[in-house]
Amino acid sequence: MELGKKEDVLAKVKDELKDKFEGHYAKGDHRLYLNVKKEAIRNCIRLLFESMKARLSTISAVDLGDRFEVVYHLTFDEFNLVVNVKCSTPKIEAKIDSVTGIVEGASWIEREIKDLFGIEFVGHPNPERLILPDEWPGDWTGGEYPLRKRR
Amino acid sequence: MPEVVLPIGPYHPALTEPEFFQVYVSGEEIVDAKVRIGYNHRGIEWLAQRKTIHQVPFLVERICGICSNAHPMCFCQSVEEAGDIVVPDRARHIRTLIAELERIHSHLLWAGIASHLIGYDTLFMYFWRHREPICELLDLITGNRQHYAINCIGGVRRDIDLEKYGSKILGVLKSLTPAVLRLGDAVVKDRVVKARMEGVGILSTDNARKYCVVGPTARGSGIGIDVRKNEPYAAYRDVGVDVKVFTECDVMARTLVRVHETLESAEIVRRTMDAMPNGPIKAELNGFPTGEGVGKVEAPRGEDIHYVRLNGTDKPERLKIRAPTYMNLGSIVPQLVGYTIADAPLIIGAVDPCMCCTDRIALVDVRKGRKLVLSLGELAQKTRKNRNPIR
Repeated sequence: MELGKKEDVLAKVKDELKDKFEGHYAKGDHRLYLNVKKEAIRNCIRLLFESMKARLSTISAVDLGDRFEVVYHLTFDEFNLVVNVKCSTPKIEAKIDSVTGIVEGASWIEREIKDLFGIEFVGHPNPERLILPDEWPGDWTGGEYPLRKRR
Repeated sequence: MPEVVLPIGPYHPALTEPEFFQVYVSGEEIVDAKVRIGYNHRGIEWLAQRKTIHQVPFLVERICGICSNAHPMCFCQSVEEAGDIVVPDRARHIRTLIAELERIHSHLLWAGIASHLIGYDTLFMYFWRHREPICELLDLITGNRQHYAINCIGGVRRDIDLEKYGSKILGVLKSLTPAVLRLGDAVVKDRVVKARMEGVGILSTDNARKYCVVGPTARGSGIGIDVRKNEPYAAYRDVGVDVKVFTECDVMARTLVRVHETLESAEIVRRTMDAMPNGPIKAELNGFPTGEGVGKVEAPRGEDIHYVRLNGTDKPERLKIRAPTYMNLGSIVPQLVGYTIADAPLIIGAVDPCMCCTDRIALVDVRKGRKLVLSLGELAQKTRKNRNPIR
């Protein structure tokens, strides 16, 4: 890996997001974890995907009890770096801006997370059910979501 | 001409796995498509969170019968990253060896299926004839033709006796290389095959990037990404990988990528055997790790990624699995539109879709014209909810 690429990415994200940036840590040379506010997620993904030419590998959601953490894994193939952008949303009103308008490939991933966790991706062009059967109980709100932790 | 919806699947003689494609055709031409997946959804992520991290490799191995080394290796790498576990050299080389043998058999299997899809069954049988010895080799080394159960956290579970089996492996590879070259020629030089594959199923480089496709699908569209090269795991840094990229963006390009990869994999197996160091095959583990890790592996179909979060107990708090077909299949709509219905099976086949991994699909979306066909579930849902009445 070229020296300074990780720092370069970090500086650009910090510069773009300003006070929406909440912190970071690195694990080894090839993994960078960033915490950002959820309002800034579209800006952040646009910067990384469009300007810096990263590739969206996938998005993971994690149930943390009272809130969900959504982790966007972006890969910089040329210099072997995975940037994991984390943001969180309260469980009561689980909503986050959709990034499908920026990255077409995020469409299925967001629909899957909606199926399994019930997080609503605001602005998704086609928020239909993807992997659960049509007969699965509940509609998009107040339904049953298999990967949510039971209280 | 009115648009007609042609449902293919979820269970259909032409499909090997359950998936549902709604193909919108105008005459013979495909104007749109919609994919529905999920018919094979088994809740592996849910199950993984209820098993110990030493059981999970065997669970994720069952995600897919064809790339059954990629998933456990990927999971082990993510846990090793979270726990800063250093895998011994010999274990890294054994992982590489198995992964490359797996890639050879997977690509030969795909080539056979692709030949079958264009109606060239002779070629299908030839490809599979040469796949068989590879499966037997894997059986010899690991005890299983599929589901090798070779990976564990910190290394591998079985050693390979190269003195005993080395000559046998080399013997199989020796007859494999000329066979693949010859069959590759049969694909490239046959006029009928060319007519079916060239210029069909175009996925432009822009679209490939937009849909974030990976593996041979990306490399056939001019995007030179390969985890083995970009982020060398296992022993790939030591043995090296030659990544071939084609810019034609069609089904032929994806085929050629796989033919070249099969040959390259045979070379990698040879180099790995030459470089095989001695030593332990498993690291000493000390308790259960905490933290998070990302594991990435180049499965035969592309980048496989696992994200694990561990909390120091024996069970993972969260495991996210993203198999390569998940990204590749998302790009199927732009590939299908504009081609004829006869091309559809081959275009879908060229993605090398693995429903077990992806576990969900159906494509086509009609922007105009009403839907003429409803699946049973859709019909039932509409009737029950009494909205959007069927006209």
